[in-house]
Amino acid sequence: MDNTSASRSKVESTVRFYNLLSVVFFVLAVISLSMLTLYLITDFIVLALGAMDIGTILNAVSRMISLRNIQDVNERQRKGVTTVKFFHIVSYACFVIAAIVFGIALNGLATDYAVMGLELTGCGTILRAVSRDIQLEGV
Amino acid sequence: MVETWKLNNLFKLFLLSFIAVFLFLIFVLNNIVASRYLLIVLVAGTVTYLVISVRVNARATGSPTVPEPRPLLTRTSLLAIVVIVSLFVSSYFIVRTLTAPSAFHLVKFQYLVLPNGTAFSMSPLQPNDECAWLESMNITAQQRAKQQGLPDCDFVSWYHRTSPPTLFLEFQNFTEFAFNLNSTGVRTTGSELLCFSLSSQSFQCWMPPATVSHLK
Repeated sequence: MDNTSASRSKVESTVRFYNLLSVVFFVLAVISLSMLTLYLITDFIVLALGAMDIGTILNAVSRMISLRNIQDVNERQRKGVTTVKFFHIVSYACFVIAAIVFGIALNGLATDYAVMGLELTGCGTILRAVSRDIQLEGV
Repeated sequence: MVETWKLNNLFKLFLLSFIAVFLFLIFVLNNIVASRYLLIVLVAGTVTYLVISVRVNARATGSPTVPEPRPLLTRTSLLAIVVIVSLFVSSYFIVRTLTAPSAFHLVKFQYLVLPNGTAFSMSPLQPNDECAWLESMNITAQQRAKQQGLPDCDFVSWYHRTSPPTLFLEFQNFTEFAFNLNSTGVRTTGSELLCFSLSSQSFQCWMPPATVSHLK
């Protein structure tokens, strides 16, 4: 019983820590995007996307951990379905913008935009992988 | 009640749409002024996100949890943090020391003379390559250059430097050199320099004998 509660406490603190870290990285992305609006240098988008990627990964992993911690199978499945839906929406958004920036990159042979495209594709792929893991564990 | 993971995803969507709108304003509408006003939207969105996030976290922390007396940081975690931080710090110092540019002086823009006496010949390139530097500029500078009728036909990567005033030169064989301008003064007499400001603290110039030069 003590082991279970200790483990649950560890899980909760990990989830809280990852959530906090993801918020920090999203704020860093915002700072980079504000620099973009001030100086109009596209490299700030690359930096912002990098920070957003880290935030997204931490957020997805923390959600995965907290779902695993739910004892009730029905509730876990229900929450899992909602999470997967959400993650799919974000991953599709990532892929759509990745396609646009890849288009710009190919058209203008701009490596900056190719990096943006790769970062966005990476974000979309990771989210899909995490949601697949959640789906498999929910079964 | 909104959960943190959901809020983070919503904010991520907001940031992605911000980037999409910015690119749309720049590339489709060609409206640089409007893109500057996006900062207001960004700030408003971020404040909302932070306020909701703090509220959600406060509620989550307020819920009853089992108090577990445990060490804040284990020895392994501490060691891992030290190793990771020292990796970042050491690589910064290694790159800074080993790649530090040396001082230089220019002789009538035809030769670049290093302190050890080595002289690099700088001859102009074909007209098609004269626009190589354009790609390395930011959007505003590019537009200003295009308005002056300068073509944009080649590609050069943008240089990130936070160091003191630095000159970047690219030669015909695509060799690139970076030089610290701290100890020397750049003489611009005899040649006209076409310069564009990149930000409040840096600018970029086209020097006829060399392919690309960045002054920062």
